[in-house]
Amino acid sequence: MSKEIITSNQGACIIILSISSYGLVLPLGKGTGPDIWLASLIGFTGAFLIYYMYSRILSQYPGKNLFDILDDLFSKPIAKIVVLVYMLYVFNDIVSVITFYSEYVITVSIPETPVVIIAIFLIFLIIWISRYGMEVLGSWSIFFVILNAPIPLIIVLLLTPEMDFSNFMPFLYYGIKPLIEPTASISISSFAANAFLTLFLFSFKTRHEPYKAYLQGLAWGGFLNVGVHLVVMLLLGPELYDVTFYPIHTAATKVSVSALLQRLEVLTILATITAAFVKLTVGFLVFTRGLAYLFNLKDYKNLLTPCGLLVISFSIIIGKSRLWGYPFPESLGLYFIMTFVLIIPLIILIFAEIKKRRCLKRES
Amino acid sequence: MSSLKKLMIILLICSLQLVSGCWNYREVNDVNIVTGLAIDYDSKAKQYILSSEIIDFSVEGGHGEVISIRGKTLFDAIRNMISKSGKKLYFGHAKVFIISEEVAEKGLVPIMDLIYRDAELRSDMWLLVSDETAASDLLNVAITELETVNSFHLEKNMKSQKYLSKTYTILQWRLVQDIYAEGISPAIPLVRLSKRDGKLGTEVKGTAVFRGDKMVGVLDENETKLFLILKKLNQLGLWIIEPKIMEEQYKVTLEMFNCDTNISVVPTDIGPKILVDIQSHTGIAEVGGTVDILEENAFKQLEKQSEMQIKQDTEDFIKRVQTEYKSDIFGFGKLIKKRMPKYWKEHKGDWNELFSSLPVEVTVDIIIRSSSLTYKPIKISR
Repeated sequence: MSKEIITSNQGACIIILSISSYGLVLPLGKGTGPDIWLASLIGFTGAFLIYYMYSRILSQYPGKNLFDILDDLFSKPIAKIVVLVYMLYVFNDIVSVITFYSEYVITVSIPETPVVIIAIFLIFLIIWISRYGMEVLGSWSIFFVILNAPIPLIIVLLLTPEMDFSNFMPFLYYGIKPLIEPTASISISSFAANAFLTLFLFSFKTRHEPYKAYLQGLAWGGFLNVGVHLVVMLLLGPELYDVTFYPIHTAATKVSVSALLQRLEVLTILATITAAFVKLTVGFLVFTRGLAYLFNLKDYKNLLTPCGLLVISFSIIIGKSRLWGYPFPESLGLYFIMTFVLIIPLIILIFAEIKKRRCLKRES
Repeated sequence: MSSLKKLMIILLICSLQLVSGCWNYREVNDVNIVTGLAIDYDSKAKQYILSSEIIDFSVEGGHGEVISIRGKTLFDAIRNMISKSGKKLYFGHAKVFIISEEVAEKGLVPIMDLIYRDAELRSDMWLLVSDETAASDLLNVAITELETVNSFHLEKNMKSQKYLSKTYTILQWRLVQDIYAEGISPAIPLVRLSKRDGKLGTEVKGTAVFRGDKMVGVLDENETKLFLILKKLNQLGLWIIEPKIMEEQYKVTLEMFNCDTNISVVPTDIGPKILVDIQSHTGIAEVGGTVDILEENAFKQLEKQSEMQIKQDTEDFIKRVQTEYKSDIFGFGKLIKKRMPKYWKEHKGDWNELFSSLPVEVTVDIIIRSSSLTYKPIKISR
């Protein structure tokens, strides 16, 4: 595998943008109503634990990414099976993400443009940046975090006078039980799933850098997302927040500071598209490198264009409707994602820990 | 530079020329800019009649022109409108949406859904109900010389209501919020035709009361003022008091400096009880008589009687809404849901009935702070 070392700052910025990709579009913890603050607080804490696990996996192997780690832990056939399973997951992920964002732009802004046009432009740029690998993506992310992160914050500050804090009441109106699934979904779908794929790409020089990248990235990205969503919920009220497809975009349409500052929703579209670009590039790089790994190819770069075309064709064939999510009921979606971003990495970590202890024993 | 790079740059420049703006590129010449909409219902033909005010740029400064068309649904009417206007309509600048009484009584959801769902129709339009004439008439009236587009005039009227306190203003998305929420019913301002210098114009005053999404009645100007106070929106209005001082009745106008309304819920044995506490700092603006209002006894009487009068008016008003309209426009239910969630869970099903018998206690505290520039009334010397 080609090794491209990135710094912890670059890693953190990639994670902030990846979290913001879905975070700035979809509602957070749908169905929690007025208790969204509680669900996001617990979900955020849960995400820290998951991110800690990711950092621990990488910190065991400085200078290596998950492909190398799988190679080291398991025999070649088993490692290849694990990678194959992940490649199917990643492919599904990229196709649905690219369809989702193309649909998003078209729904909110340019309804007469064919969906595929947006997707083609996105994939063209993704192929382009993928040729230059992780270092370029890292530097690009540092630059765009500076442009991207303030946009939602500005919108939120302009909306502050419209907020109604009584929307946080009543406390636990429907009890604790209905909160469990949305809370898990905040931890897993909103935070963990968006950054998990970076494990396949990130390799850091030292042992402590993974912790810095992941935990710092989550702290900033999570703070930004949770904060923005709480403000939007206070503005729209729990009922409207739950039924709106793109709550932050809807909230941005309400900004009106005299006649001067209006229609800031276009800024949210820009912010989300740049964030989505990072998430998609990470996914796409993982997919192409995974294929190179499976077929023992030395260079993944030859695969970029064919894979890009494959993604586009699938997004046309499969993603016929925005309401399409997974090829099974929505309620199973969380468990599907959980298997990939929580359970399998946990197993990998357990194996890594066992191996490390065995090595230590042998040495002593 | 390699030939590949050159080719890429040429391709990029070409694609910029060809595809920027995408399919949705629109020239201002190709669209009609809509500034306001009005909707009526023809119950015989079961069709909506949609009227839009579009700006005619051929007149200097722009001039509002109204076109009307029928459709089975609102969106159908919008599409049909192209056949009349010739160009596609652009709704991004629509400021007001006038609903006729018939549509309001039939239910707002079929109309509101499109506005909230559609990305081009802005959900920050001001809503108005026309209860005396067809909604389209209000867009059609003669326009003042200051304002050549009727919808813009209505929009300015809505925005300056905080100084006027004649009606309760609401944006479309706030209405959807009220329809969605439990324990609150929506209210929309009323707009009517009025004569100004022999010309017809529009006047916004009074409020339409809704139960669910259906209109059930109207509040007059005075009731609207009290409604705004209960909604904590009337800060700068006037209190016109008719106190009896020294056996004689006078008219005294108190100018409101601020009005702080506090609504709370207390649980009792028979259920929740609403406490409304109105505290207003005022100043004497005018006295319609020769009584020395700052004389200690008279001043006390004025304070006491104004408190009593406002309390009585508020109580009568709340009672009327409770018994006649059975519609919780004040949001008492919403408050009970927040403060007494257990009670609300058990009783939310029959809230409309419970609301009409809900005990409400009003306390009023009027603090007269100043008497402007004089401390004696105008005295008539013989």
